[in-house]
Amino acid sequence: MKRTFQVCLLAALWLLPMAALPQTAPLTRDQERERLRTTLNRVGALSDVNVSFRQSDKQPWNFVGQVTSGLKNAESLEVVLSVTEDHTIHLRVYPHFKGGYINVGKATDSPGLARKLLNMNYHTFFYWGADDDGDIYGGYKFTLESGYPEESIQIVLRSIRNTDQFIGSLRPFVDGSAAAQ
Amino acid sequence: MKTTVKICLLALLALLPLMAVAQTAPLTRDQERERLRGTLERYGARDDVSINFRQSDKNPYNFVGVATTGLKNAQSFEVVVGVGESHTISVRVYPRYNGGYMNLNKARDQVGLMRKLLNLSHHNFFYWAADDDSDIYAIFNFTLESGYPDESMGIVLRSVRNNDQFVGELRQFMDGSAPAP
Repeated sequence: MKRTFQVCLLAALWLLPMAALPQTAPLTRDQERERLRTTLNRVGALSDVNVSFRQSDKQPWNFVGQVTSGLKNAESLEVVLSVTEDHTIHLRVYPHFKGGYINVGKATDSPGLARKLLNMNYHTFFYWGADDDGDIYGGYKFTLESGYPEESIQIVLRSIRNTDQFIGSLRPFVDGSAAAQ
Repeated sequence: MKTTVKICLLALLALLPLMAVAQTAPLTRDQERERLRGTLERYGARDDVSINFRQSDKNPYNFVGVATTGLKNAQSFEVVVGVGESHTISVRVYPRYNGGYMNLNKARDQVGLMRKLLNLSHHNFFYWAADDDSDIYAIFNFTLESGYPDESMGIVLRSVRNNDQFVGELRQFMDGSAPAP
């Protein structure tokens, strides 16, 4: 009897971690948001990220933050992370330049800018998109079907500041200026 | 003494599955390719994917396949799934239209096409890019820092055919034609 109990205990202990792991996969949208909140608090405090994220007042599934230091081309980078209805997290980095967003329709060389952005999507880690107002941003999309991608989100957040060098390569199309050295 | 050995054994057994799981995370590029090969064979055979992937002769880290059935606007989709050097996997979908790739330079309304592509990237699961020859394609990128995303790959592969409706929206800019009903 004692031996049977010991064997059962061994089996239960062996299976316990395995049983815990699958439970982490299918999160609800609320749970995804809370995981993201924790990630943003932790990673946002890293020196190479240095962004204070807060939940958006207008859209409760969004977190917003601002990068203002260490930029040579953009005045600032407005960072928006959205938890969507269908198990994705969408990161968007809107560059601020000369007092506003960069708009694909208002650029000095609008066709050149659009072509440059589409070709940058071939070469760079972030993709470039234009929202319904024509304002452009660097983006990244995560799918959560394989679990919450904590490490991948960290890698992407640490890449936000790299966007500034690409703003430099867009400046000739936006207002004819050269990239900052 | 006998009890101590039992406790150590219990602890070791309890930790074993977790240790095994941790070992699956940092794959080499070759290991990532072999995982991908298995994923593509499995999902490629599904009715809602139906793509026979094969390793590229030119680039051993690429798998290529063609989707030909169930399309109303594109003649076919050339699908290239590549394992990157820095723990990434990209799924690129090149639409074939009117006997060739869709090329920015061959569009009737180039500016309209480029702006549409940038805005489609804002709304869609895939984003759009133009390679150095100006051929356009839809793409989804995975980072593997959080492990190999098998289920997410399945979702993306099952979404490849959805790009046909967006090719329909691009037709007016390519040659002035309307999307297939």
